[in-house]
Amino acid sequence: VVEADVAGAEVREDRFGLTWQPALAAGILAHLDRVDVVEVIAEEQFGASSRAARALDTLARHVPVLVHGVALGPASTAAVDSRRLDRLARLVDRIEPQFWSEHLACVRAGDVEIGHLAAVPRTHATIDATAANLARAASVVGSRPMVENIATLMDPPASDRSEVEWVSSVVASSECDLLLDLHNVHANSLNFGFDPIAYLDGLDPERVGAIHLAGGCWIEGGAEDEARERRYLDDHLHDVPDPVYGLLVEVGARVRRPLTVILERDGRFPPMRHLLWQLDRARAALAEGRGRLRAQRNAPRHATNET
Amino acid sequence: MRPEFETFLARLYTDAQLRARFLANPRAEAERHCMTVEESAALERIDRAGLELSARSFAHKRALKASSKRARSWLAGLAETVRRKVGLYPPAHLCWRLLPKPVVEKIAGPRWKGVAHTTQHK
Repeated sequence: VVEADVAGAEVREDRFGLTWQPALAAGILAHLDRVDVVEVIAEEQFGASSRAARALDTLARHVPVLVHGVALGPASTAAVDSRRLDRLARLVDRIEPQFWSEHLACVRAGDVEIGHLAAVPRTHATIDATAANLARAASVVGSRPMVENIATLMDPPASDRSEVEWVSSVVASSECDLLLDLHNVHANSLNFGFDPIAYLDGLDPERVGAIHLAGGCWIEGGAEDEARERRYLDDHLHDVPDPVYGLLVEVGARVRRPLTVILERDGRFPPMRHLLWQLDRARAALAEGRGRLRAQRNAPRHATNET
Repeated sequence: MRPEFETFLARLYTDAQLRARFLANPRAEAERHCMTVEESAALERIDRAGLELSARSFAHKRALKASSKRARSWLAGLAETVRRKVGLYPPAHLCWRLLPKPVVEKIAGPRWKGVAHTTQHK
């Protein structure tokens, strides 16, 4: 999507794409006129067969590719694993993505593999440690990653600041741009009762470089013999809910730089036309926000002309 | 925050017995794992339902990864054995038929008739 900014000479080039899944491969390749960019999960490429590697190389020649890591775990007081970093660096060297990204999460501690993305206590110490890990990752891979806010079912104990304060501080300390997952913001706002618009206001809009959209569902559970509670799980198995498109409008009204918007869908795949329809909704939402931004920027100019 | 605190949290996520002991008496279990006074106090205030739901979600993810890894290595081993014996790879559908259905669902996604969609997610 190329859209001239009427308020200035700059040209916005927002791009919209999907996470690469073997089940979606045919659909993506058949609709490259509507899929501007494809996000590849790094860990799914490690140890891939030579045939799969060639397929990825071919894909990267036909469409811009992003590399998205899910298992580095830079949000930790422990140093990130050198072997994982080396493999990531080799992958990035090979397919030359537009950018690479990782989650602001802990995935292992000591000798324990958590198995997924866990939030660390939001403290000054974890901000410094995360920034140090991201600096090391940038030096090995050769470029800074974009860093993604995560969804969580539990507010991490021993935190002394809000999630948005912690994320903003990590972004500022590490000089990494933010891959803003709007569904994760939506999920956490439901689970912990904060205002998602206030969350967006707490971010530096100049540092937001990409957007993730996804879906989720409510789950229920709790400690044994205690009242069961509901939490909203970011599962990537459902359609993007309406409030997330609303957040994308708000992002478009705040962020001036071009954005890459990725729709994440990892299973229970609907027909390709339904995923493309969701991408179209995202295009419309971001365009609506961009329209508001232009109106805001033009308003003082009109007032000046009238006087 | 000390690395030891991070490791204790990771153990709470992954060790059901430790988690049960901890939820029954958070302070005692925290002290048994040499947490500081401040860390013990923070652990006493932990979001108990959130801890259980997080642990459940992480266990699900670990199980998915393990089954996928086992299936891939098993399938690769089978294919390699047949290739060595007869000089070619077996048709893919034979390999799929030999695998348990949940594993096929995990790997194949919707490409195969009658197979539910994959549930792996990030």
